Amino acid sequence: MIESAQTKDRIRRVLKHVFLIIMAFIMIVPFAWMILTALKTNQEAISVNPFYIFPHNGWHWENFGTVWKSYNFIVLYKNTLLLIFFRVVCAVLTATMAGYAFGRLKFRGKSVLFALVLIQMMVPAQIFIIPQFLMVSKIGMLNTTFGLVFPGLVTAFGTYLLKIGYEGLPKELEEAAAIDGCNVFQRFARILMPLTKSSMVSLGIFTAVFAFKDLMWPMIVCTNADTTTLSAGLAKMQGQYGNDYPAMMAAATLAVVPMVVIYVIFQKQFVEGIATSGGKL
Amino acid sequence: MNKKRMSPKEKNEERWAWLFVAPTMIGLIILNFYPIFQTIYQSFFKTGDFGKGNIFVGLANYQTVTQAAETWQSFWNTIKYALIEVPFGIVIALILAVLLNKKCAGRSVYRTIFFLPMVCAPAAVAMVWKWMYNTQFGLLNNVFHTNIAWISDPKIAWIFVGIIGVWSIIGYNMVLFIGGLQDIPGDFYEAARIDGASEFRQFLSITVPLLSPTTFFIVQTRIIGALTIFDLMFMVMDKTNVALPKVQSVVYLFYQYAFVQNNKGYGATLVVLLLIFIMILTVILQRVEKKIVYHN
Amino acid sequence: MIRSGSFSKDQMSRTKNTDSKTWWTREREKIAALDRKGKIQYIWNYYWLWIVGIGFFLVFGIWFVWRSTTAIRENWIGIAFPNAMTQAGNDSQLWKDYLEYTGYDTKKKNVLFEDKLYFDPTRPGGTANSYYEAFVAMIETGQMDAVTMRRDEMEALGKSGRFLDLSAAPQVEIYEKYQNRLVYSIPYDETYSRDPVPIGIDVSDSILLTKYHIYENSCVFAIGTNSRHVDACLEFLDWILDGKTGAVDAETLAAETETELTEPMT
Repeated sequence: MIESAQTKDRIRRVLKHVFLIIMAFIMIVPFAWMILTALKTNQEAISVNPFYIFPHNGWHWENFGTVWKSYNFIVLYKNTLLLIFFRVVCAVLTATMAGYAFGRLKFRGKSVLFALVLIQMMVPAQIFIIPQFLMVSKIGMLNTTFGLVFPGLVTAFGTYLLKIGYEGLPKELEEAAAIDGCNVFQRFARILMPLTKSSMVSLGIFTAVFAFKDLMWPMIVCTNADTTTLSAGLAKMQGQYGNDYPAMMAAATLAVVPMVVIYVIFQKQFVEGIATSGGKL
Repeated sequence: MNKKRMSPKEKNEERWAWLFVAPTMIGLIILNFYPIFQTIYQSFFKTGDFGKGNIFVGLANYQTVTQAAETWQSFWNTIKYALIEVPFGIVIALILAVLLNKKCAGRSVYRTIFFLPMVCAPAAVAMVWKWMYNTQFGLLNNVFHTNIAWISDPKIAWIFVGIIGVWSIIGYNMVLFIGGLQDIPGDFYEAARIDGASEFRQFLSITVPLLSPTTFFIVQTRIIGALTIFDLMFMVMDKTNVALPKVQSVVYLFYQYAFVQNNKGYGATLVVLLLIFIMILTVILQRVEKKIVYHN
Repeated sequence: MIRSGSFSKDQMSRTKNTDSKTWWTREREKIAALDRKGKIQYIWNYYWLWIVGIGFFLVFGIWFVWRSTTAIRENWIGIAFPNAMTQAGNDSQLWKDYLEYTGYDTKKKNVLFEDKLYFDPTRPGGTANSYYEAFVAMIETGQMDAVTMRRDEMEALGKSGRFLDLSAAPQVEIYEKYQNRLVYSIPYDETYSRDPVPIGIDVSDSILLTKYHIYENSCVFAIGTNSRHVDACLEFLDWILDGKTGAVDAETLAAETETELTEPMT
């Protein structure tokens, strides 16, 4: 009886891993492709043979060295990390506050204001470019980190996400705190906010990824090579290397490294932040 | 204005609430609502080309745009895309998140792998999908010895473009689901285990209801996201692709009007129509939410 | 697990007070009772977030005012070089030579050359990218005054009506001067004109191609409708066509190739 349950359990575990491995394979293909292309010669990279996956004429690790030397990667990393840092801080800070108010507090105008938050997500982002650019240039913030962060000072998506996070917390928490004499701010800062850590981490990851990928905004706001970010800095590559795919992919791989490191750190937080109790505090 | 007088405590709470939403709302109004109002305003004007000023035309733009077959085709294309991306993207991500939420070998490695597509260079993603979908030299046709025009046959192109959409959204949805799963207190599962509930049973009676706010959030934001999809279709499309009119989305059509043809009036009109469409959907969804989503 | 769960009794009693005045006097009394080291430690322990936050906003505010008063907002000229084959951006040889020729002081106003733009207006979907979005933002706001592009691409791009109609009255001088170089586009907007409109000036024989090799085969120059520096654009046009620095002797050529080899691209 027990043995059959164990084998059943084992089969289930194997099936689970088979599924995960297949999915992981599907998800990782472009990433692997990127690295493999970076190691090929250009001729191999543009080959039309669909089964030509691995480099045949040796693995050209020197492609990475060549690309590293032709860009000022240190400056690009620094600018990108600054952009990501400030975007994440701004997004998490404003969204946490607004999410708490929308999720837990009663106030007049709540539904109207929340409708505005939703509407912001419903329009194509392209309509914001020109007005936002004019604002940044009027206040003289072109070529600065503030200019880069500007469109990400607040986030509708994050506000919504955090609102859901706060709504999910049990009511008893606040009632207990209110009896203890905590005011609204203290209830927020000391009791509820630490419990929405996983929502904040999700928002942090999203904000970081979008800041990292954003190409158009850094391109128009930071025309200076010293102030631009990885995505916009490496955009030049297309002209410089033409169709030199290995060089392009090598640069793209180098650009991704800090992102992966950040994610690994973040996701550790994710694993550790497991909530243990709900109702009883 | 006040129907009933508020107690000092409620007044105090309201003051705090306004203080808390103020940064976000001020930011949204300056950064986003000013441009949105500009767009709505623009939809009543004919754009002046070659340096001529704008001319007020009333509702003429709305008349022209709603009469164009292109508009409704693009709406239909977008809806079809959403019908693939939203359900599949969410279900697959949910399964992955649930599997990876429990302790298992290589959990961190899997999570990192599922994150990688999000930061992968768009050029690499495009190359891989082209490598798969190419009619002559593509992997799919060569492996299966078929001759299917995956993305250039107007009848089926939308399905395979939708698959790219599903692929690229799984990681994002998974991050959100994992976040939601983390918030479910572990002792609920413990209690269920003591009661002898099977894993599937636990999933149905604990995970599904407690995760429903997160799920609803993802459904809501993904519907909006899929309906405002823009450049995904063009990642893999070639110059001569005949399927283009059958996959172009509303936002792409807007882009075509406003950015390429410099016809901002039509572009703005299309944005307003899309906004109305999504707003109606959202109102319906919010109604449904009150009925099916679990609130504690 | 829950941080708030580890509240000490002391903290709880401290947070109980909502009345600011008693809070203030109580805190002062508490701090007065401590020695110097203890005072600093107490303040830091309980108020570090406020101190860091307020400090950050102060520094940011000062920087913001300083920056917005000293920033260079004006341009001498801005020119976009979409699909450039070689470097044509700021700090490129072209940019340096142009500054030398005009003597513009970049400490007063900017000279912006933009070469990181890649799009193809001749095909559907060829403009559905961030590069084109950035380009449109730059040309619509007048950040960029003029564009150079391959001839077929410019003919397609010109349909949008984002460039000056050279046959219109204010531009009559340009029209006459470059009569045999005009490039035409048929506008998308049929109500403007059903006939081709002159929007560009063919500069295929300019130093852009012969000396700097920014384009191959053909190149057209067009001025945006929102340009505030049309005169500067015309000056640039004169420069590239007359090729005043176009006479290349062996020495400068050698020096150029050397800088290209040694200077890292930024």
